[in-house]
This record gives sequence, structure tokens and C-alpha cells, in this order.
Amino acid sequence: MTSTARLDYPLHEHTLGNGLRVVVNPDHATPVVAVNLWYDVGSRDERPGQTGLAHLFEHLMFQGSTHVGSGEHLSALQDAGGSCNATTWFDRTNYFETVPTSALDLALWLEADRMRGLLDALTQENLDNQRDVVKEEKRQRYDNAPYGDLLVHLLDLAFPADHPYRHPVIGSMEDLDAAALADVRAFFSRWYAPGNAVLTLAGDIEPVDGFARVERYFGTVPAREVTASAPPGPLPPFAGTPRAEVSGAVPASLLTLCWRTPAGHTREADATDLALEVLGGSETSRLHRRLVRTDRLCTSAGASALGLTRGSSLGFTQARALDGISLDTVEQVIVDEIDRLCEEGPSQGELDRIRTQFEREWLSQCARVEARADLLSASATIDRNPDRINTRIVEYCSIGVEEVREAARTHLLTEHRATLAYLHTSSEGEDS
Amino acid sequence: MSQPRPALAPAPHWAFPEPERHHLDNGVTVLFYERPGQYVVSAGLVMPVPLSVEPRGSEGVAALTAATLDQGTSTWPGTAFADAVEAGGAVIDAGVGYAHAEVSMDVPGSRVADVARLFADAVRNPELTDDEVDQQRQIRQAHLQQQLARSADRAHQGLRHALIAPGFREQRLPGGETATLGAVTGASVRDHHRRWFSPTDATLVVAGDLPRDGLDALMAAFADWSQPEVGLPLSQPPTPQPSSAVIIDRPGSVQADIRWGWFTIDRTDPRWASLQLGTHAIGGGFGSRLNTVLREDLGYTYGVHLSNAPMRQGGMSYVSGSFRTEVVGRTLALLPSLISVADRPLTDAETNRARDYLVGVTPLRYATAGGLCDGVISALVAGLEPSYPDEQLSAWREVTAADATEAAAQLIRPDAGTLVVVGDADALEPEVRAAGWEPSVTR
Repeated sequence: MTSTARLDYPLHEHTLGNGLRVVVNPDHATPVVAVNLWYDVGSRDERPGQTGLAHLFEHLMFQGSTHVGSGEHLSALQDAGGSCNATTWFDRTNYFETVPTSALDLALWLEADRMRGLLDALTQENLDNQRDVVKEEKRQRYDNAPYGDLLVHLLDLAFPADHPYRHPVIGSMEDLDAAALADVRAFFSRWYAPGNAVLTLAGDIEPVDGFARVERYFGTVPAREVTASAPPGPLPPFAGTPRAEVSGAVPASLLTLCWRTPAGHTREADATDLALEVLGGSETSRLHRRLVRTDRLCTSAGASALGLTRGSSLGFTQARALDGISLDTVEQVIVDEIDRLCEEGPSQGELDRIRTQFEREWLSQCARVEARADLLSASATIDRNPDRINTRIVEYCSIGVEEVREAARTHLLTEHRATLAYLHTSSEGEDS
Repeated sequence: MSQPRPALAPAPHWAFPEPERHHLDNGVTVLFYERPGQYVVSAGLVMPVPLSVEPRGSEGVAALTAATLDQGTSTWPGTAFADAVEAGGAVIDAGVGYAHAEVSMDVPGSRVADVARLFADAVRNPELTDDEVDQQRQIRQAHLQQQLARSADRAHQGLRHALIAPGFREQRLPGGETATLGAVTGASVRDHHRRWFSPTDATLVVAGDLPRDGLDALMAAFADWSQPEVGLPLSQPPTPQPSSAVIIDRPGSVQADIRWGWFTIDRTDPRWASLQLGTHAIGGGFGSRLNTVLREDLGYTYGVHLSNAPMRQGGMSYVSGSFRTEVVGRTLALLPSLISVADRPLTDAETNRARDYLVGVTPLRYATAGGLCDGVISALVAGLEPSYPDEQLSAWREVTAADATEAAAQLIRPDAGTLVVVGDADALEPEVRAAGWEPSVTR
């Protein structure tokens, strides 16, 4: 297994008459099957005034359907020895369960019942209850957490007012309060059709058997037309260097620099990711070495990408300053390092290290049957090609020094950065 | 139109894999689990050094030793070590638990032979310079501060502080706390490494799909490791403090993190399997008694759990959840009846569902090289056989509803336990008092 090797996970594809696309990846090492149902809808598809609806809707998918009681989907699968959950993101909503082979039919039946008949069980009581649960989730994960509003401020800086990626997936309390049954019904009717989904089975199942079972439970779900939202085009780089400053009861001041970068799942996005990796992907990266080890200005420093599929993604660097160190000092060091990368490009040694690390990380993801199923659904949806999981390492590792330098010079220029300074104002978190 | 609800097929057979065993002359036991298709190999070198060997005034020295191991070795000084690890496609990590120290590595199977000596060098010959230790201490103190700024982590620390008697290391965070971390020096880290890192009683666990020369290289890298034999002290079993209630003030919080904990048992106690099924039915699963009422009926929380955290000797069990401040009083008033099995014994159906869940998820937990390696190490550091998951499956199958009820009644007592609430103390104190607790407030 080397960086140039293609992987050979066996894949089989089939499309049902109603448009549901099915991928089967047989793997008999353990008697479990990962079921992953990926709907091509996310917070990007919400209308103004309805932020948070895609995620609130995801919760309601667990509150019963034609033949399933409220809460029964999760309980029935857990009681059968399965683990089960769902997530909502800007670009998708995925529902997944990993079950012993004995419970595969139950899992498929439950998923089919809610794809067909969620609205049969939708009630005002369920909506009100899950609205409360989602508001508690928002409080727990964002409102009551240090830096919990960081993403909101970044999205505000990065996207224009009416842009589909401008608001966070969790939405606002006001919009959650305003969500009505009619909105939920309309959302289901518009997006939750078999032709807008990919169903992946990875694990202890043969393709013929897998396709037959999917046909049995999903084959009679009626087809419905789905019209995708109009995708936004790529955004231009930031005009100048927009800047925002916020302060709060956080343990350390945190500096985030941000760029508009190419839409994910493209070669240009990979080249930009590689540039971000050189800057801040690990403890050997330039920002960590300089800010944490050599200059001793920060307790952590890194870079990452928020990959989005439509128009533009975002690239970030992030650094936490030591007490008493000004963020302006930190920013100047980061700007110097980025200017140097744009000028000189990465070294071959840096690129080789990132490639071998990417190889291990990709293989580690594929090692988990449930993570592999999710990668397959993602590739089938976004790239229309699940086999991309087998060629991904080759593809990523074929990007060379010059291409990375070019991506940095095109997409990470410091004169087009946005800056968010998060300043700490209290001594929250002192040891007791 | 739709199909009738399908019945469950008979559960598939599964058993925990058997390792290939080797014993090195210096005392290291090697357990190798060959897992075809697991292309990323996990290796873990585990030493049974308890944190109770740390001097009281410099707790955190073990964690700082672990954190500094990969910051340069005698063969690969300074940053050359991290460069070589990354170039080799590996990730090397080290950490401590209350009963052990561990150095672990993940790397594609084809590269194991190339990085085996790096892995062993981190264990055997770390530089541990004053400068590196100072820097790692500074980073850890900052991370600790960030950790304790999070309400849930603060609550977890608070429960440990209040529940376990202060004479025991288990009362405090495994990585050390602010006051004692400050006292750790380069010299104390080097001393800790010299005294306690030893092949005697160490175990090397390797799992995954790797060529034979990879395993040989790993064993060769540890074969000539010699260190004077260490006499590990006998650990005293921790004991609990008297029940109490504490509010930890976190001004401006919009939620309160609640922990209600009891000092309970470890995995060697005959009631362990019964307790696991009991706690799962009360607060483990989505359809548990606690979650059904507090989340699904009332919408008070995103999720509430009753969990067990066994130690080598004794353990903690606790209710945990985050609730908006306005409903904390009502939640505390409801909790005793929700956890009590005196009036509502666990039913056969509840016990069976808990068993079917725990049995059913076991194969997935050990399906990857990493999961398998972690599982084996977790058993070893608890003083159990590596095949412990098999024993656990058999034990779960024996538990009756009466057993689960009895274990819960003895150990999860509504009339006892220690309460910790983290949040806005001014708003919380009257609510906690109204629920019958007499809290002290930490500001």
C-alpha cells in the first residue's frame, strides 16, 4: 500500500424505478451492516426566516411515521443491537444506523416507512417537543459554550446577506420559534423524495441480496419530482481585508483568518487544502512551528477548510494567543508565513509528509464500515461516482509543489483575508 | 403498499478474536491480532504504572512525561522526531490513565517496519529537555483552562472532587490540575520516566493487516530495552466522601450541567453485569426511563444519561445532562422517582432490551484495528484478561430483571449520592434548595 495505490473496495450500484440510488459495498469481516441514507438537502436550502428548519426536520424524522411510533425508530434499532443517528450540515442530511445482520431488514423497513409516510405521524405536539429539544441542543453546543458563536461571526464576515451559506445550520431561536407544521410538511414534500437520496449498505451483505431487500422495502415508495435550489456561483475574493472584533468570557484570545476558497470536491479545492495543510495541518506545520515552538506566542496554531459544494468553500487559519500577547502580533506572523508560502511554495519534503498523512487518515476512515458508508453516499451524491473512495489517495497525492503554490497565490492572498479577533475579557475557567 | 414490519433474524455468531502471544526476554508480553482488511495498524505499549506514584505536590508529572515523549529522542532530536513520524505516515500519541501509561501508534501496515524504531525510541529514549517540558506545561495549562471553561468538563471535575476522598489520586483529573502542574520540572519528568518506564509487566498490543516483517520489526525494537525492574506500589482502593451538594458558579450560563453521582463498583464485582443492564435501562439508551421523560416528553434537555465509569478498584456512576436554567428545579424534583427501582422494578422487557443492545453493539466496537487495540488495553489496565469482552457477553446473558433491579437498588440510591450543578449560582441556589438539597456554592 503506497501513496500511488488505488484501493479496491468492491462497489455495486443500482437505481430503483422511483429514482433511489443504491450502493452496496460487501465486507464480511464482521457480521454488521452500515446503512447510510443521504438526502441531498441541507441548511443551504432553507428560505429566509426558516433558518434551522432542515435540522429541526431531521429531529422530526425520529418522531414516528405511518407504522412507527414517536421515538420508536431509535429505540427499536438500539434494542436490536444497532447504533443509530443523523446529522444535518450545510449541504446534506444523513441518516445512518449500523446494525447486526439480523436487524438489516428492520433498519430498511424503518427508513422506508419514514421516507414514504413521515407526514402521517406529524403532530403539533411532536413539533413543539422537538423544537424545545433543538433549542436545548443550541444552548448546550453554542450559547453556553466558550467561542460558541464563533461560526456565526465568521459566516457573517464571509458570505453576503442573502447567501445560502450565510446562516449556521442550527438556525436562530426566532426562526425555530416560528417554524409551523405547514413549513415542515412543505419541506418534506419538496426534498424527501427517493430520487433525492442515496442509500448505501456497507458490510456483511452481498449485492444481489442487498438490492433485493432495498427493492422490497423502498420499491413502492412513490417517485416525486425534486427541483434543486438554484446554486450560487463562486464568490469573488474578499474586497480588501474585512475585519470584525468580538469579546467574551473565553479562556484565551483567538485569532481566525478566513478566505473564500474553491467549492469542495474539485482539484483546485484539494490544492488549496494542501496549502492550508502546509501552513497549519499538524505539529510539523509552519504556523505551529513558528507561533507555538519558536516564537512562543500561542498555545495552538493551525489551519483548516470548511468544504462546501456550491460556489465557494472557506479556508481558515486559527491561533490561540498566550496571555499578554496581542492578536496584532500573532496576525503579523501569520501574514508573513502566508506571504512566504505564496512566494516560495511548499518544499517537496512538506508535501511528501502531508501525502503520507493523508493516506493514513483516508485508510483509517475507510476502515470503519460506518464511515466508509458515509463516504460512499457523499461521493455518490456530490461526485455521482462512489468509486472515488478508491481513487481518492491517488488523486490527492498527484498534486505537486507548483500546483499548491499556485493555489495559495490564487486563493490565500493576505490582501484578501477576512479577520475575526475573539478577545477574552474574564478569567473564566480558573481551576478551583 | 408497504411491507409488514420484519421480524429480527437470529443474532449472528461473534466471538472476540484470540491473539498470537509472544514473550520478550525483558518481560514485555506481545499480543498480536491479525485483522485482514484493516490496513491501518494500531499498536499500543502499555505499562501498569498507576498515577498514585506521582508526588502529591506535582501531580500531572506522568501526563507531562507522556506529552513530552514525542518532542524529540536521542536518535531523532527535537523536531526531527515529529518530521520522521509524519514522513513515515504514522501518528504517535501518549497518555495516562489512573492505572497505566500508554504510548500508541497508528500507521499503514506496509509502513510498520519503517517506523517501529521511532515508536520504541519515544518510549525508551525521549530527550525530555527542560525547555520542552516547560513548553508542554505551558500548553497543557492553557488546555486545562479551556477545558474547564466548558460547563460539562467543569461539572465532571466537580463531581470527582466531591465524590472521591481527597487522599486518593482518583479524586483529581488524570492530567493534573493547575496548582500541581506548575510544580512539574524537567528534572521531575526525567525522574518519572527513569523510575517507571520499564519493560517489566509491559504489554505491546498490535492489531491490523501487516506483513510479518512489520511485527518482527516492532518486537525487535523493544527486545533490547532494559531498565531496572520497578517495584510498583500496591494501590489502595479509593473511598468515597460523605454525600454532599455543590453549586459551581458559572455566571451568565443559560443552562446548568447536572451531575448526580454515586461511588459504585468496578468490573471485577459480581454485580457488574447486572449494574450495566440496570443503568442502561434507567438512563443508557434513547428509550431509557430518564430520556423518555426528560427529553421526549418534557423537552427539558438535548439528552440525559446514567453512566458507569469503573476504575481499577471501585467506580463512579452518575446521571448527567444539561438543562435550561428555568427547569433545573423541576428536573431535580423528578430525578429521584425516575431513577428509583423500588416502586418500579425493572421489567423483563427493559432488561432484555438493554441486554440486546449491549450484546448487539459489541462486534462493531471491536471491528477496527483501533477499536480492538483500545478494547484489549482497557481490559489489561483494569486487571482483566484481554478476552474480557467474551466474558462480558456471557455475563450479560445470565442477568435477570431481578438481578438488574437489585444491583440498581443497592448502588443507584435516590436517598444518597453527591450532586454537582454548574451554572448561574444566583438563579440555581433557590431551585436546588427547593428540591431538598443543601448546597454549598463555589464561586
